Amino acid sequence: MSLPVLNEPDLHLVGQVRPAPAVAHPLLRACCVTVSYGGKPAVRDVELEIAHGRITAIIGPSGCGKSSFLASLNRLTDLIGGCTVSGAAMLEGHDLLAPGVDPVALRRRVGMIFQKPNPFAMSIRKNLEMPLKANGVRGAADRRDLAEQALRDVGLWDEVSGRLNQSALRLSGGQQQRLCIARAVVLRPRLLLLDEPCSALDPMATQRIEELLTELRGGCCGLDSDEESPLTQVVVTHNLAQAKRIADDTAVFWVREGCGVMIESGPTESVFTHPQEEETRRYVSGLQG
Amino acid sequence: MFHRHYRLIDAAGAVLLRACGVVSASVVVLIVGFLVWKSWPAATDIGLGRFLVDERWAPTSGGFSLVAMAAATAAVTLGAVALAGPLGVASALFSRYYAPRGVAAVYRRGVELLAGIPSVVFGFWGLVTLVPLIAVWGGGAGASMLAAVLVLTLMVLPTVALLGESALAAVALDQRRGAAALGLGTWASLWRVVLPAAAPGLASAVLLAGLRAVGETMAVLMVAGNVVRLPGDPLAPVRVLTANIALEMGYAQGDHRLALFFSGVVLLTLVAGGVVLADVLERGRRKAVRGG
Repeated sequence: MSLPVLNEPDLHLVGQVRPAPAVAHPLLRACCVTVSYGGKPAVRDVELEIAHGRITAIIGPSGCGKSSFLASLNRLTDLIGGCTVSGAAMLEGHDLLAPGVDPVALRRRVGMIFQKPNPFAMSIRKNLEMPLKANGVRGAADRRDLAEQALRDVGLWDEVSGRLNQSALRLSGGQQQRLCIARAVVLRPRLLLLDEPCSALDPMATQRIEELLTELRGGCCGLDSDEESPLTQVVVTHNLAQAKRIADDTAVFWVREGCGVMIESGPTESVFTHPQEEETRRYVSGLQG
Repeated sequence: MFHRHYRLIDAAGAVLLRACGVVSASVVVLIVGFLVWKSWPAATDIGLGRFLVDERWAPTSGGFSLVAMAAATAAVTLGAVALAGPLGVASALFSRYYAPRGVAAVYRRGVELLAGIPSVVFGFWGLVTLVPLIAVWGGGAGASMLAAVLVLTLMVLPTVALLGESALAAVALDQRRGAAALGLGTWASLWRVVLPAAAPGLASAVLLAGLRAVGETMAVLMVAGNVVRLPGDPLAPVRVLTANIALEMGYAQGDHRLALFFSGVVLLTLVAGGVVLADVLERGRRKAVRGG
């Protein structure tokens, strides 16, 4: 089966046909997603809608399969030996878990940020320009402009514009994480997955990242820089206050019968103030988890 | 009571370990000292300049030029490194990223086995298989610089492959995940992220292979033909410095003997320079990893 949209190799076309962001219009719908390691499910039967142009937080105690579920959404689970994913995850009408989908092409549209900032061992400039080059942006001038725009988008430009040729590893942890976000948004993904993006950072750096994520939700410039489009995000976090601060929607994962499940989801406000499940009530009030 | 007991064991252990350290360090110092001491008269009796400017190597009749043999050592080493470097890196990439798990394990064992084959066996194989083949395909006697390069390539290949693989393995998983998350396929991840990050480690693997090639005597001696002449035609025979020492030490007297000791100093200097360079590269690698 061919999936023209997901397999689209030309980045200039990606994102040109944008549905108007409607409230709670789902960009991604996970149906019965189960992630197993060596045949043993880590998280089972997740049913979740990710609303377009909003930030969805996934919260829950350690070992409840939040990160496994997240990694399945851009098929990074393919890289883990013995890991299998079943179910369906419909991104704009196409199942990204289907066997015919090219995971490399998918990951250009669904970016990911990790807990530990992972800039490449090369200059700041090359960290941004290399992925563009690898993804087919031909002109050197285009790459330079896009890299600058991405650095402006994440508020790094004023801090690093004088030392773009220095190693990215010399930046502070918070700067490195913002560089990683710049590197992801410059490819203009439809969806950005963030796996505890602030848990290795101090409170000030965390605040910068949180501000940045809410700004990006409003719109960022990417490959077609005249037009801003909202960036849908899914954030796995252990920090309940962070979920309250930045997430529009929240999904709660829990461990039941030795396996991770999603127990409830909805607008953050209602999940925190009127939880449906007893576990959620105890967790969000700090009594358990 | 118990405290005294443990302190005694600690003290004895420290003395023993220090003694071992002193012995191994002093062996190195003694070898270097011996070599310099034995070859020192070469500077006074023969004169260092003559090793460069004499017309030829004829030590029994007053010709002490080491130029042709030093050039042969350099040419054979560079040739072997030029072949074994890319092959070894490709082999490391294959066994780390492309081979299925079972195949990779068997393959790695094979490479380790190759590393353990005694050099005289390589020489023997070269002599009975490679040299006749070169004689048939290229003409001439077969024993040649080309034969020496090919045998050395096989001998240093496992050094590059095994050290190169650990250099690749040292590239952190999060770098590879990061590359994958940016829509880079396997080859693009390797080419654009993993290889640049592993470059200093790969370079020191190649350098160590080169050092091994410089020092290799037996296999080269058996296939190179051992005629003292400037390297040029790959099908012509050459004699390298190490082979020269092995061939002539048995009967050398007087200035001839001195000259052989001095060529040992030349080899040692080459290798020491390589070790220093490897150390500089290693520091570069650590710096790149730390970002300092």
